[in-house]
Amino acid sequence: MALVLDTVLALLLVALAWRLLQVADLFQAGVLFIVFGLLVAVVWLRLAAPDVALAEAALGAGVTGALFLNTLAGTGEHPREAGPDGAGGGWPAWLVATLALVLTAALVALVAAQTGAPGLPSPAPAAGGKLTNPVTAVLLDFRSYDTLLETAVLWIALLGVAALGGAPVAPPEPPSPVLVGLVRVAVPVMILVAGWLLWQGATDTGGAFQSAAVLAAAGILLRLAGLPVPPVDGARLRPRLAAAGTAVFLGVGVAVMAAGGNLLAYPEAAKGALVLTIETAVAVAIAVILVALFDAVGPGRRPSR
Amino acid sequence: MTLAALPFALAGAALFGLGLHALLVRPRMLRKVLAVNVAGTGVFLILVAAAHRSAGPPDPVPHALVLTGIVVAVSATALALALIRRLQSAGDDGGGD
Amino acid sequence: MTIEILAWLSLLAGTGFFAAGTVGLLRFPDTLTRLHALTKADNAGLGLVALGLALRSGSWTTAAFLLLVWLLVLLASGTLSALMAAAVED
Repeated sequence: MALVLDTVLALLLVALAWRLLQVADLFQAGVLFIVFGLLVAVVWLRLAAPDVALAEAALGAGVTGALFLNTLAGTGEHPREAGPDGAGGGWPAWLVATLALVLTAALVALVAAQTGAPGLPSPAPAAGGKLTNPVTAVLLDFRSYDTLLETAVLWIALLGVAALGGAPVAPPEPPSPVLVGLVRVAVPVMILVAGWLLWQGATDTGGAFQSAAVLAAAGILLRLAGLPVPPVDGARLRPRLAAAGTAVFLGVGVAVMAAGGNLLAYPEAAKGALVLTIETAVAVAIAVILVALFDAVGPGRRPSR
Repeated sequence: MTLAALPFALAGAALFGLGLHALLVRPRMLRKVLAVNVAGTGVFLILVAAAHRSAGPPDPVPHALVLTGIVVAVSATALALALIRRLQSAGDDGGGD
Repeated sequence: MTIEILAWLSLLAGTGFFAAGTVGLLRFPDTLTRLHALTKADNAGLGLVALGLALRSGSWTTAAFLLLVWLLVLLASGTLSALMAAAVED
């Protein structure tokens, strides 16, 4: 029964993706993309990946959709003027069909090979560590070096966007009072939820990235309502906060090294506190970067450094 | 991968194919950005579906990989959109939008 | 046992409201009437589904969280409908 429902969900996902890539109106494509992201979040839940579901709903659907729609608004052309799009067919269709068939065959073979194989022993977080959320343990303990570089990737994206120079400033239209009312109520709740996600990311579903996504969403809402966003508006504060994520991460790693260990090998006693420090800095930095990226693609102020 | 996760893995393969095809065929750059995102989502689906080795808790390493992947995809999309925006405002109307 | 029955009735009723909202989306003639159908029916449906899930969960904390989710969705969808209706009016 569950398999039938899952198959229906998977088919729905593919149909939605086909529709969003095919529809002529780019605005519709953007909205369909947000719906697609939310459906993918449901799929993550079906695959027992709640942390990924949170991140997908907030970042993959929410922030990416907002970026795309803001770009449509910022490019100035009316999104409904759909230009002539190329029709399918020809060599790309054959190449893609072959690739997809090969992938499918490989996946089915994978299922056949692993049915009945022994399960995976759970990684060490069960051994008395404070990080009982396995995904957080992997992100910030076992593979912390990769996460350090990931924070740098976001920062480099902001640098790249800043290097493009300023977008032409357009006067924002007065925001609807309904939206301002919603934002005044919703943003404090979102900040609270973000803090809670950050705190409980160590032991339960949550973590730095999900918290950053909710904070970024709050920042984008503030922008849409025409209200000030102090951490992003400050011309000196913004780059410092944006770099703070990578800097604190690296700083903690080097401090641990100075205290007589390897890079980012936390001592067991201080692990919880160190991970929380890193996560807080990373969450704030990523949120600031995402809101600054949102600014850069839309009509409005120029992203000055 | 368990049988229960197979529909999603196959959907991931289909999404990757759809995204790649749209990336190759569609001339409008905004559409290409959407196509890359769809293809990326397909890859994530395959990764997370493959995290189910057998009945029991799934392997958390692919989950962490996909989490990182989502964040990197957002930043790459933002950079691409900013480039498109800048091209637009620079008055380049030659190669689509 | 009665709680289980109540929960299932609530879930079924909620699904019914969602279906009604979808029918309204597909069959109503213009944007404003569609917004009306969607907002009212879907919010009521969500409330009933949340009630059913809260009854099934058997935990006050989960019930409080579900109530908070419902209130936030009410806020968001109400604002969205107002914004969309204002955009259509122009």
